Amino acid sequence: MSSKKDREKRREERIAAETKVSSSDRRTKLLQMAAGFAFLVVAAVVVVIVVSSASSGSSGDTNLEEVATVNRFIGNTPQKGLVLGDPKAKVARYAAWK
Amino acid sequence: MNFPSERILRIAICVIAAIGVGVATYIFIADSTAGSPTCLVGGGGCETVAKSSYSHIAGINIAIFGIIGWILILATVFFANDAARLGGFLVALGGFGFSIYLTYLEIWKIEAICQWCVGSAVLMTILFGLNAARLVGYAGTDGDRAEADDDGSGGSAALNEPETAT
Repeated sequence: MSSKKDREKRREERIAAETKVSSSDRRTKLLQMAAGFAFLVVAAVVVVIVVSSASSGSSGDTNLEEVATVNRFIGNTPQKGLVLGDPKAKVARYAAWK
Repeated sequence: MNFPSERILRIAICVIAAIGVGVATYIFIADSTAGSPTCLVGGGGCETVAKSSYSHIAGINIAIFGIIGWILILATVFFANDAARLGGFLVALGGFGFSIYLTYLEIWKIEAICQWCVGSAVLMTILFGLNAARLVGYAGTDGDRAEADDDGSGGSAALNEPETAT
């Protein structure tokens, strides 16, 4: 009689332990998944902001007012870096278009 | 770490999500009819933001996405299971990330602050925290079990307590 009780008690303990382990596993998986998604969202926000900043920096303001005037003055002049014309030229030419 | 009971967290999420639905709906209606929401404390930031190119994504008013997000979060409140906890957390996480992006746009791109948008972002931040607490505190627990923790004893990681087999 007592052995039957013992068996039932051990069975209940085993079921309780299994339930606890299963529930603990589920919790761990959920939290890992949530952490993964949180990382992805943070990364996505950072990437979007960086790309957005970079694209605005390269395109610049497309409504410049003096573009046509500047092009008329120096549009055909060859350029090396920040230097217009031949860098070895002995004569420097300055233009004021204001 | 002790968390408020899941019932309290769900009630708080429900209240804040309902306010969020109201804010997003107002922005959408005002944008559709009056042209822009009215800034309550003055300034033309709301109008500037509403009329910027960033107020629409693929021709859809951004407030529509907000309304959908708030309603999804509101829906998760009515279920006390892991799917609802994770779903609520993920939607709030997405909303939180999107709010950060929109705030960035307001400050650096549009250079105008919309008070309604800031309010919505603050609500979403609070909601993200509440959903995170709900997930961390009660993930892996059954709905019945989580409800049983609502007796005022204060929820914690309920797994730390011994399970009782019935």
